[in-house]
Amino acid sequence: MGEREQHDVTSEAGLLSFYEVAFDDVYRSAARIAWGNRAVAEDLVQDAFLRLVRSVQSGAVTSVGVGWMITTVRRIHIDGLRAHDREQRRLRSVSAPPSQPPSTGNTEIVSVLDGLDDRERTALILRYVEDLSVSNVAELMASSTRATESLLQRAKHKARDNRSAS
Amino acid sequence: MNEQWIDRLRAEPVDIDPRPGFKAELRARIVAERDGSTTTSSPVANPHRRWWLLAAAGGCVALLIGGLVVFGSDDRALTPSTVPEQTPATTPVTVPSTTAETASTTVPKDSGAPPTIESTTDDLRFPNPLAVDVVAVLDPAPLEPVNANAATGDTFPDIDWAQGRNGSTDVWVIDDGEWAGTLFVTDFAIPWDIATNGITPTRIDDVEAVIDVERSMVVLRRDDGVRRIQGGTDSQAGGDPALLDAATQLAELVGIGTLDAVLSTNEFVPVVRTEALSPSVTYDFTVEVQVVRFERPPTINELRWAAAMFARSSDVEQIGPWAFVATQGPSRKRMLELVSPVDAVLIDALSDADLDAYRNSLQFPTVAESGLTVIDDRPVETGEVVARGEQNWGRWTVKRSSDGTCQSVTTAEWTPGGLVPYVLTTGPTCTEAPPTDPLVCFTSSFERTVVIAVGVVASSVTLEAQDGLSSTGFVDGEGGAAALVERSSSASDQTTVRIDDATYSC
Repeated sequence: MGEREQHDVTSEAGLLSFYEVAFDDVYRSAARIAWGNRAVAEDLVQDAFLRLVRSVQSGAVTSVGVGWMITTVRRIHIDGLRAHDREQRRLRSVSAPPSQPPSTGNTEIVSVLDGLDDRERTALILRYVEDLSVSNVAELMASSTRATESLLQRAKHKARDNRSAS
Repeated sequence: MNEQWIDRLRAEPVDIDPRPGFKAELRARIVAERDGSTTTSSPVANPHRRWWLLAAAGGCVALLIGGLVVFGSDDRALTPSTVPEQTPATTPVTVPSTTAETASTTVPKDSGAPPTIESTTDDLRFPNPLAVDVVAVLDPAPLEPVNANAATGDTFPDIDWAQGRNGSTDVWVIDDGEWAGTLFVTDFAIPWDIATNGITPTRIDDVEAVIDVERSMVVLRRDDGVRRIQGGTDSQAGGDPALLDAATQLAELVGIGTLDAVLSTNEFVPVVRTEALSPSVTYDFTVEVQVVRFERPPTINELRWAAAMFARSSDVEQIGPWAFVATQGPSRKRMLELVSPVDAVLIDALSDADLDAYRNSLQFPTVAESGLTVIDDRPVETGEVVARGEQNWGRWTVKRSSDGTCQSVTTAEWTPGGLVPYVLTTGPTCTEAPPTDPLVCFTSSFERTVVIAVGVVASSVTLEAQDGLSSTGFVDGEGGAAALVERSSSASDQTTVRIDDATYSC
């Protein structure tokens, strides 16, 4: 299904019809950005569809495409990361260990990414798996283009180092 | 630099199916939500929690334990150790009086909504622009720890060309005096036939165009590429009909010509650009304070629109003669206060923060006076462009430091049907001595390598033939020549080039 195709979601039938045709694409996108973590992916998909329902109820949205859902998934994920990041920094100030998301795979690439922190991993996935431009990644991550370029460079260097070490 | 791991990252399968029953449960949840039979957003049917929530919950325990340990072992822990020892100066640092003319510039009238609070330049904290080494701090610090990061500023001045841009203008869309969104107007060098490959174009007036509903974007054909007029950015996609209408209207008004004729109307206003002036200071990573500098003194309505743009929200309230607060989503808000004719302080805080208290505690010492240690993790400026060029596949740029030991490469490849170029940058990579090898190879994907011969003309460079390799041939640019080499999966990773009588490989 094309990401740009619009679906009328004002009726329950229309909403559920869209759910059926969009679910797989939205879930795949969530699984990619969650880097294979099923629980995170399912939460993202659920939040995105419930957000759609509320947007329809408020009258803000009457028709929607898969692209809207994928963008929503990305934003929810990054909002969550940001909140988590703030919390982690606070916790690290009293020596709490940094957390890592559970990894679901054992491949070389997964191990490379697991060595990155949340923001670095997400930036790399958005840039190189989701194929967003640097400016789009910056926008999603509420950061400047320059800071995002810096973040990506750091992430790439770290990933390369991880790969060399593995 | 070998970036092939990125291709592997792209190709890595993320094959996880949802657990059995998840899709049906969520479907039922959607129906219930739509019918109003659920009132919360917590996952009832699906009791998962994101890992960050789990981590945060676990971390809270650690915080309690850690806090007890710290409290019990060291009473000094109660005294914030990161508060600057020096009391920030209360006297503002200003630039010499040669800039006073800017400071005394009369604020022009504009067509926005009338301000709810009267504002005159006498109400500004400082009559002159701030010095460039100033930093905005909250004294006393409302939260700990306090951290400072260097201002990110704009991207490097030559980056636009390297990324395939020929120019850009940002435009505020004003509806009945209020900010309704921002249009980003950018001219890209990507040829029309490549940009729109596979896309059926339409016409706006006499100009070929593509309308991308999903990204609220109109793309027009230009002789030297395309013009993209986008409402918001890709990440704000979702097909905002109002912004798409505005983008279409602007496309109809201006076409591919200069924007000057339609700007500064009641509906389209050029964005008064800003750049970060001071380091960004964070308190507990939940409150962030930074000084931004406007390119010229903004009017009160331009300040209001800037506040809205920073927060991406039209929910803006004036809280002082030159201060606005914009709600940014459900959990955060941003305050923008003009403190000198061209400088404003941005405070980003949680929605329940006491912004009045923060405003009243603002101080403007120099960085040295503040006692802050500023972390500078900005990308290293490589130096000057030593070679660059444009070919039918895209643009390439090589930059080197003045001593020649550090180098970075940027390529912008025209992407079929992509509407915008595909941009990759690598480096800077540094070596102990300047490279003696004129060859620079940049693998932009597994199949494509850009081979650049710096300081060499195309007629003296040849690519050695290999099975599975094809090339555009070397084409002269400024300061060097380049070719795009494409390889099949069976081809060798190595590319061999002859320059005059010497052979080089990468």
